[in-house]
Amino acid sequence: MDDTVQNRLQLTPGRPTAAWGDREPPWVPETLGRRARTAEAAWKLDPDPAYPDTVYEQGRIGDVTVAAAAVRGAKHRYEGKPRQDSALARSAGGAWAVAAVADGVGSVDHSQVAAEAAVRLCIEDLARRLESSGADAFRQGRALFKHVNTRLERLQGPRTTLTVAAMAAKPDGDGFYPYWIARVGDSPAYVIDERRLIELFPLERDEDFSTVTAAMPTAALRDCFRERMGLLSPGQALALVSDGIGDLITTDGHRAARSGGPIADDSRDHFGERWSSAPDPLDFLRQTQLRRKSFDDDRSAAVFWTALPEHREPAPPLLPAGALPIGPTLPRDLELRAGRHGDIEVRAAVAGSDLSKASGIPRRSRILIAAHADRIVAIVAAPIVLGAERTVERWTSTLQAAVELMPPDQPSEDWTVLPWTHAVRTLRDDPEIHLDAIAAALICVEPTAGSVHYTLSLSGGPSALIAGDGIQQSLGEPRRVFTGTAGEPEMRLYADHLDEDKTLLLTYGLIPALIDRVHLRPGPLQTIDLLGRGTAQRERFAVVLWGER
Amino acid sequence: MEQVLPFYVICDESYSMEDHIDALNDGLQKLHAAVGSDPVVADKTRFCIIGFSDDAEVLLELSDLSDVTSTKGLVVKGGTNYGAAFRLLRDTIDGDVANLKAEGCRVYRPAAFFLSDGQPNYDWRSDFARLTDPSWKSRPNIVAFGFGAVDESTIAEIGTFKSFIADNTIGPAEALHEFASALTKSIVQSGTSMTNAGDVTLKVPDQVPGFTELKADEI
Repeated sequence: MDDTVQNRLQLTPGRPTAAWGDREPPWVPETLGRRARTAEAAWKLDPDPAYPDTVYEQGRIGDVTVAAAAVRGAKHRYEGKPRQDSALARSAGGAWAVAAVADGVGSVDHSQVAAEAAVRLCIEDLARRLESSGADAFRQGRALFKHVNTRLERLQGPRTTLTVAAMAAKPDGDGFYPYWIARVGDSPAYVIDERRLIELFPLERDEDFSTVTAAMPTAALRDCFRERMGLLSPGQALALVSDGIGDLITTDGHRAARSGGPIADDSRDHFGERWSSAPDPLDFLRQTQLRRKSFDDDRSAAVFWTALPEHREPAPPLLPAGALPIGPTLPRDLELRAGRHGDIEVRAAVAGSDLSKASGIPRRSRILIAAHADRIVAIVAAPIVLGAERTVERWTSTLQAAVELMPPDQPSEDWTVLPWTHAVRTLRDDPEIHLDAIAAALICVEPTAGSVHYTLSLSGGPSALIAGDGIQQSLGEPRRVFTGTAGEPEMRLYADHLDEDKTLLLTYGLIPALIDRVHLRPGPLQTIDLLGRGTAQRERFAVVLWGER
Repeated sequence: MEQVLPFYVICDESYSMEDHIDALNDGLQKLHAAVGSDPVVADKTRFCIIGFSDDAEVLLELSDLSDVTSTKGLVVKGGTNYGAAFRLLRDTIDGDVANLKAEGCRVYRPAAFFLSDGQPNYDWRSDFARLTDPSWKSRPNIVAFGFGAVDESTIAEIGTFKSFIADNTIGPAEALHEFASALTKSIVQSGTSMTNAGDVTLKVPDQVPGFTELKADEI
């Protein structure tokens, strides 16, 4: 026997895994280069329901359209860790668009708290300065960052980078749009000119990644604060990104510099071409998640465009900055959660109404999804009438707190009925709460032999159906109906096994007849697409659950 | 292109390894399975095996372990020539880094795991100096494992990052499994802790059963 053959060591190839989630166009993100296995792996749910996998918002003021998105990276999705990037866009003083991107420092716990606080504190304070001083606020950048830095110190631990920009909604006398941009940390920013990316801040760390990024709070703010002012020509764009995107672009920048010519698979082309004008929201989110092997960090971006492509309907107006509460739940226009938990697959997406947004009202519907041992619990609520947002907020938080106190070995029906009853009793006598003014549901799904079992409490109008095999069916008769006294909504309780080929769909603001078969086991981005089966003039949500072996 | 953290394992194949080589080969198979099942690690790390005795040979070229279905295994041969191993490691790293960079990859500092059970019977210091030359940008972080007849101070000198010496609390076969398991953990931990934000550090377990860590500052 040949020596070389004799000495060969056979290695068992890993089990080939089918890609999870979005698998087909137009939803699946593009891959540059070789297969990115982490990006194709199944997601685990976000451990903190207050920080959903994906947040997105967009809006317009004057000539300027802004989109801002933050999404978990492939690694956090695979490991079930929270998103640590944050992004936010608002209008200020009726004359400015403002947006910020923050990248929580990964080596510190709870850095998502710092990232979320940083974008809010910064946008709020910048808006105040723009309102009182106009463009003179551009000269107050250090004071702005000092304010944010001081407030972040109170968090006592979590740290984050921060990049913020403001842009005039209307051109100056020469037809240009003045902007100001400032940052602490390594998140890059680009002017997109004719599909080319022009870096606004020179690279400060060397190519071998030897330095650690500057982050806030910092004692050396003076040394790491950077700012630029500039004028954007009509048709140009300004992009703020976290290094989850920036590193893709920078790496290819070095690669191109070494090769001295155009390079294949250039991620700079990907972003330059696609973001030279405002994409549709779903496209923007998909492009943000460009797959490339080994680039698995969180991704966030805020992009300002000064002109709209002809076919695009103008986006609804940006929400004015106003006072932005510090805390986990500042609703964005669009939120997405998705994951696999044991044998249970769950998707949930919620979108605000363009109509409300035009009146300066943020999204009021809420979704909270959490895993409790082998169960998935979903809490959803939407206001039926104007002014019920406080009820939605209190209802979901009371219900969430009650669910978290449930003993794990309690049967599933108790998991829905007991917290629900508790929340009704806690809130029914509060004069500011109107439980009959909201549509609400609480779903508990758990694995059973051969399938999954669901329990669903339903009140005031979300639509629930079982779909599969080309048919959609309603849930049938409720197992129990709780008729409330005055001020208490009627609650219908449903419970059943969900067969392996069936999907449980809970929707609000959607037209069930428009839901295609293809949407019955949707990928994450496809779930956002599902919200298109309803009008953007209403708040909408969809929760999709099924068992998969 | 991609971001790559290269790992090199350099194994002694001298005659004294006769009784242990199967345990080591088995450890390498397990390593392959463990790395292949974690996409985060598989996406970012590459792996190379070098065997040495009187001479040194690349048994597995620097590879993406998820693409590899077999490798040349370790086979006992002759003497213990550290110099040949260090020379080949330096040349291999030079070639690999150049290739990866030409592909457009961003390459992190290589990690080298060195395992020996015997005293070198050739001169090796000039080759070691070349491998650890501070002016050579790609010089690897070296983790050295010694057992059997190996000299403690030699192992302590070779492990520029960490060194471990078998303390005979467990049998040699078991100790070699622990070596392979420490190597796997190092690849997984370093691969998953590597963030785009920078601060990539080689992570090696503080304790390896059957081995005692040699403190670099002890003389």
